[in-house]
Amino acid sequence: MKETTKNQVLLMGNEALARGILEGGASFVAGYPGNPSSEIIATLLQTAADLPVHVEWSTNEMVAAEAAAGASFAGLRAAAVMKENGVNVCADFLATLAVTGVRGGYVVVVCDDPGPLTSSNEGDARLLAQALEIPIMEASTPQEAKDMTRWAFQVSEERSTPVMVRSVSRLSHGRAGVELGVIPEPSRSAEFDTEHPLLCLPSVAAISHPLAHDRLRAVQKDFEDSIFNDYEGSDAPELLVISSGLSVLYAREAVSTLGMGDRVGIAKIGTVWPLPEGRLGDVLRRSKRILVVEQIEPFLEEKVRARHSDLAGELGDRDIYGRRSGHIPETGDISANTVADALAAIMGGGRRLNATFAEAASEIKEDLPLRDISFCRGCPHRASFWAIRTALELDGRNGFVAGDIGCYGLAAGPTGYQQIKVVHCMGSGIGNASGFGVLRDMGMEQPVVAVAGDSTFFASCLPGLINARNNGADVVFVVLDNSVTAMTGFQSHPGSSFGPRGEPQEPLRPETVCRALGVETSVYDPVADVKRVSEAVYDRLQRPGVQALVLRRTCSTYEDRMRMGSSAVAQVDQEICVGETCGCDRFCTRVVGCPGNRWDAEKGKAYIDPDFCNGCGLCVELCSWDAISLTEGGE
Amino acid sequence: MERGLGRLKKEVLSHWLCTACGACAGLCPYIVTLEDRVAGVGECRESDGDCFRFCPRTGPVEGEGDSGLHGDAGYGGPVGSYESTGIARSGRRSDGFQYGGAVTALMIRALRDGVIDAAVLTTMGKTGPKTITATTEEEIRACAGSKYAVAPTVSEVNRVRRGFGGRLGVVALPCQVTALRKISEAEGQEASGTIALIVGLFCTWALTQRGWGALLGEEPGPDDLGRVDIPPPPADVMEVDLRGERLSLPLREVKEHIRPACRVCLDMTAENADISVGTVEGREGWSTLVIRTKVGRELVERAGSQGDLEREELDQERWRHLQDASLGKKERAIASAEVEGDMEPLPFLLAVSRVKEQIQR
Amino acid sequence: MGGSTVSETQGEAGLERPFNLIIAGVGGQGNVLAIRLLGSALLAQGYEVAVGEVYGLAQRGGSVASHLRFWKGAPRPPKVPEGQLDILLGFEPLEALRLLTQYGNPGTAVLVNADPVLPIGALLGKFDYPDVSKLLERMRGLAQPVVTVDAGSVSRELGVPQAMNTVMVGALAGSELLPISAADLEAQIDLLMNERVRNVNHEAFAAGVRAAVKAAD
Repeated sequence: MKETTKNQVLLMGNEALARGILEGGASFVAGYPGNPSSEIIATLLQTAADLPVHVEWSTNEMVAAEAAAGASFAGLRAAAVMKENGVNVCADFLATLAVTGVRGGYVVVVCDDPGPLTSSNEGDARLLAQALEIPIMEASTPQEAKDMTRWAFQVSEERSTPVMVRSVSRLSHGRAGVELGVIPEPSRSAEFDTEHPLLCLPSVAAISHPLAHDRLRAVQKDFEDSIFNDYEGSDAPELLVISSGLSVLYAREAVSTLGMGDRVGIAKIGTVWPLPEGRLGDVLRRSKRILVVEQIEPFLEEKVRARHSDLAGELGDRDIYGRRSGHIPETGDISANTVADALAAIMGGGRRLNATFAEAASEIKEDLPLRDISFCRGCPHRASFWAIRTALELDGRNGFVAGDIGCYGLAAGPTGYQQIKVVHCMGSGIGNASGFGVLRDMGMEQPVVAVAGDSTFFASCLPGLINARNNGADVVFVVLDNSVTAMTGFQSHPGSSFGPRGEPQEPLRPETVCRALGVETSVYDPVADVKRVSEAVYDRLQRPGVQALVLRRTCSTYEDRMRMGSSAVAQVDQEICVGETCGCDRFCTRVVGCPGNRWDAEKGKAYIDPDFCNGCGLCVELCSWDAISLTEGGE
Repeated sequence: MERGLGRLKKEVLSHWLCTACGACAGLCPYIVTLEDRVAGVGECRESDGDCFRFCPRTGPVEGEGDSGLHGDAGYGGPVGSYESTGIARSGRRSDGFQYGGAVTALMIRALRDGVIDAAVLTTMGKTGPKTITATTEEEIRACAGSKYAVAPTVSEVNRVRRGFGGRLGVVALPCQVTALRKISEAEGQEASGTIALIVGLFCTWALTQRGWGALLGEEPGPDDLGRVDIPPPPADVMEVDLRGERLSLPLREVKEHIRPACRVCLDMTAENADISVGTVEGREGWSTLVIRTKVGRELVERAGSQGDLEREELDQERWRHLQDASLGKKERAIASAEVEGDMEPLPFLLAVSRVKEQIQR
Repeated sequence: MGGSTVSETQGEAGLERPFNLIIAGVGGQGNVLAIRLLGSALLAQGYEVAVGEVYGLAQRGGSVASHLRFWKGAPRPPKVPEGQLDILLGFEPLEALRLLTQYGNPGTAVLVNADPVLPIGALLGKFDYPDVSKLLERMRGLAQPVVTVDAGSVSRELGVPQAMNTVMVGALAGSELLPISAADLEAQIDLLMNERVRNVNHEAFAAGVRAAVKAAD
């Protein structure tokens, strides 16, 4: 992190959150990779390397939350970091943690993904926080993300409750100037007070719950005076915007664009739950018209309505606009223009739009081809799904693949030949297959293949695998082992050959685990052995029970980054290439679809871009005319 | 009208009635084979493909009259067209020749005389029948014996044809024979890898490769299966030599593993071959020959005159019985095709149903 | 190109309305580093800066748009509001046109590297990549000026095709559309990049400046 003349650093929201965790005095940070949160721990692994702070990628978010809590119980400050879905995963633990309370300050940093921009669902962690009875704060800028996180540790420790700090993608990945604070000297020694056990048990539940509520009430009092709640605008504006998080900036920009600064006030709420009721009451007094702007669900909006209902006798009517009224769309990402349009609909006036440009632009936009995402060149998943697809076609019983989240999830699309037909969350592929695989007596004739990546295997697949084995389900379970947690940025996991800071690590092998569970498992290189793999998958599809295959080959993009892998490139013999005629019809470029394999429309032949080719050799294996070969070359 | 992979999949390849003869495979990367399965992977946009042309279940080339193709491609009498019949047995007896060794003798004679430069035959592989190309007499002899399961033989023919400048002889099942005849007629006499000789085997049905495993409780290896025999009624069993031990499998159980494609097959006697060869009931060691073409006739005559084959007449009773059996298979196929065709009106099933009008007993 | 664009649209002293820039490209083209160079340089000059990006699936061949805004005043969201784009830096022509239709207005200045990167759909033969000259024509129909910079060839000539992004940043500097000097911008190379790659990036930057000056003639 480099300094600038203004004593500010251009930091990403996630970098600011990481800094906030350190400034808050944390000694233990754990998480699982998940976009848009992954940079927080990645940054800490680098920057906190020389500090007495334990930073880890845990096996999954549940373990991360539990491990961090261990540090908190020992009196240290700790943080658990995850994307929104991660909160779903550790909900059971967080719910019970809220019941027992914490010792050292404990902050859960959550990054939601409105849109969603890269996630599979558009979840709002604030709803969960309330359900779990955990206070939540929401940051608007990178500066605030840092400062809020630091404060969150203090609140958490004083009130003995876990606290959530929430960000969203555009804040996490957006950059702005941040003034850094001080990282405190470590001063604590880890020790667990056995005189005061932390028990979430039926025998004490009746006592624990009200105590937890007392803690929440205390936090709510803290929130009344928080500097993170603010107001800008005139004393009694025509319209009051109530907003939290990044939406505050959207509101501010909208008001500025429309020139409504004297007519519209903005109440910023940083301490989202439990909402400071006194503060909210003050805000509600300012105007008869209120627009609530937030992401993703109408969480604040419902609280505002409820609070108004409490105070209606005193305040009289209010017009409350937001998602309920349709002024803010129910789902999807919003922007300053969304808010500007809502303001215009309520107050009149509007953005000056260049109608000619808009019309011309929308016509053109419709024609522009979309840029589908695809497996990278050399990606072993391409070969794996080619082999699976071939095996399922040969089998002929309309079999299909149930998968889950990761780079290989792209196999639901054209790049993976649309093989994956069922996807939900981490580990759900083998879980679903465990159900599909016992339906034969109910008429199910289709065989099922479950796929999971290596990182996902350790994170979430074991209970599903054990269940399938135990219930005698007919499943072919394929573990796609590319050595890293690739989609989220090539992080290390227990099956990697390197640790979180790049140090050598003895990898835990999926096949060792499968075999220990009594599941017959074979291991192949999906690219070099692509034909044998399709035969093996076909063979396993004919057999009852759980059959496992581990397809192991390092992620090609990771290889390039690390300057590993061969320097070979593939080459198409222009004499032999059959091209578009019968017997080929551009099989390699058009059907197999590696982006390094291109089509020369003028010559009517395939060729390989040597700068792009990874040298994996899949095209060499699959060209049935033997027109492609590998040559040593390149730097 | 489109006559490529898309239509082939739609009408034959993606369905249970594909015989896995392999005629469509080995021509391009889109069609793959494994054990006794053939499948199309990916979409090819070729609108006039050899895959569709050579398939035995896409009918004769449209627009032509009687193409002279019979079996699954058309009706030409109870056993198709032929020049003459007879029975024969190998002039040389030794172990491993189940039904008289006539086929082996014919192929060796053809190789010796230069009628063919290589023979495409089926042997037993590690997990089931496997098609190989033999260029020596020893290799030909090693392939003797019935398999009761299939391999996609014609895909091997396609593969060999590509680079081979010589003439090929093929021993094949009726479905494969129909494909081979289509290939042979399409390419003419001058093309490389000419199919110079087609010897067809009588066939009532075949079992799936994995079905063998289910019946025997294990997957038989290459040297495990000896004689496989279905004695005449009232015996209701299939007798199998498994590593010297003789097993008696109830025929009812065996038939559960008959390949679905066989249920709608019209061709018992390989009607499109040069020579068709089957058993002679009640005369162990002898083969029934149906000689259909000039090529077939000349080869059988030379084999006889050179002492490779001992020859006799086929008696009237057996001849009638053969025609009855062949018609019986056609009638069963038609009955199945009518039922299945009602549920799935695939063109081949409808074509089989229409043969009913042509049959005169 | 003149250096007056900023002051004309923004007013003299304050940049009341943020100045908006987007880099449009494809995953792997170096958007992130380019936008950081620009953002850090502007922050160093005392502006409020917001940079916005979308990560995650970009690496796998998808579109990438990096937003940059600078102004003086209270914090603003990183996302450029639709219709308020001042400069479009196109690393790829199809993406440049796409982003222009989404965020542009007739006054948007466009600098585009006209080297297409084929989407996987074009490779699979689902569609033909549109004619690049048509893409440029359509851009010119929407906004002016549209200047092509042959950043791809320049970077390849230097032997580092990955430095295309720095060539484009250099071209932006050379076009004088931003209120910072080329020197101030170039200084960020030493502050943000690895020692190993600084020299070649300085060369790429300089080549970009030359290309812009040439295009203006």
